[in-house]
Amino acid sequence: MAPSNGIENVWKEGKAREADPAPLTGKDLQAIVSSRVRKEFKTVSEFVWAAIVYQIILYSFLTHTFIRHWGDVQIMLLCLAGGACYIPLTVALIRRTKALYRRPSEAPGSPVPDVFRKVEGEYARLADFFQFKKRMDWIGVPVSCAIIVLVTFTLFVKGGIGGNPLGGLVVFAVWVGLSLIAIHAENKKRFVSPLRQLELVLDDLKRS
Amino acid sequence: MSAEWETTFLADVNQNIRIVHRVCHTYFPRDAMEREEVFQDIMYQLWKSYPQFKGESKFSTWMHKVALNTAITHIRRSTREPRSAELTEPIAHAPDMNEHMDRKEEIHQLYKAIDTLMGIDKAIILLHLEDQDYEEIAAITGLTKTNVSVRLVRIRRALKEYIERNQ
Repeated sequence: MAPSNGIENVWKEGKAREADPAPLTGKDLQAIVSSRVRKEFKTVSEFVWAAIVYQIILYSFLTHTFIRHWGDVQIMLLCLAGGACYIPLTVALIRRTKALYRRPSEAPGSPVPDVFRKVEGEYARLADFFQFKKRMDWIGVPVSCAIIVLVTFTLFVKGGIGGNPLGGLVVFAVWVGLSLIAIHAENKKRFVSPLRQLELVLDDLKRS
Repeated sequence: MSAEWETTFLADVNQNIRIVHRVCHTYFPRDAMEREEVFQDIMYQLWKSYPQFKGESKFSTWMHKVALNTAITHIRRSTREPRSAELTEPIAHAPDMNEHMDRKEEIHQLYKAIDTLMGIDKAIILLHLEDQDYEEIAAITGLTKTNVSVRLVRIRRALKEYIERNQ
């Protein structure tokens, strides 16, 4: 194309040649709305379930051990302490998840945000949740690993942690390490890459 | 959804439905399935936001805003093929096969050039080519009118350079 022709002329010519798109019918609209509602619900559900299932497993383990070893004060205290450490994290997770999926633009009467505000808002919500998640991981992972190692050693290893400090430490370190590797991969996929993409868009918008 | 509400919504959308097709073609020229996915996403967002449309701006301006917001959000989520992939699929608004090949090539080159732009630059050139004035482009993108004007000069230069290089 000779640039002097002007991109506007080429664009207009392309537009003039395009076929009329099929109109959207009521039936099409109903199908789209139904499928999107299902999709949105599924996406949110997957995320929330993945986060909560782990905690359910931990609570189940603690509850089972607590009941099974009823009367063993040391085990019972360990289970109670584990639960007490984790309940605030569960509550905080539920609150933050709600905030993450809240849609400010859907409030009655609120206007559709411009692209900059939309991206900025999305970035802020995601970054805020990621910060929270990182803090929760730093506290939650060592705490849950410590609880599981302590309870397991007390129940199944002769001498418990006191009799096998090095073994306990190694199992704890391996467990924490594996958890951190998994969390790193998850964070990269769900948070770091999306945040980087949003940063690029924001930088681009700020550039003038 | 009430029948009357739905009829009004469909009438407004169908009058401007080309906007959604152009946004989809501009942002996702390679993958028809992804384009369909984004088209449906945009329709869903329009349907959800329609009750908040107060007529303070033109319907087409509002529709552009919703469509671009959705397309840019979709790019962020998308983990599909890299940007360097060759644009092989027939481009948007492609002329009929019996049309003059030079003109067809020009339109193809223009779409390839637009495809090399960053997300927001694509939005600006698309809005400009769709005859939106600086004020409307600024309102849709959240940039200032001066920024829009400066960026448009740069975008046009980049498009021309790309086209010249690939002639």
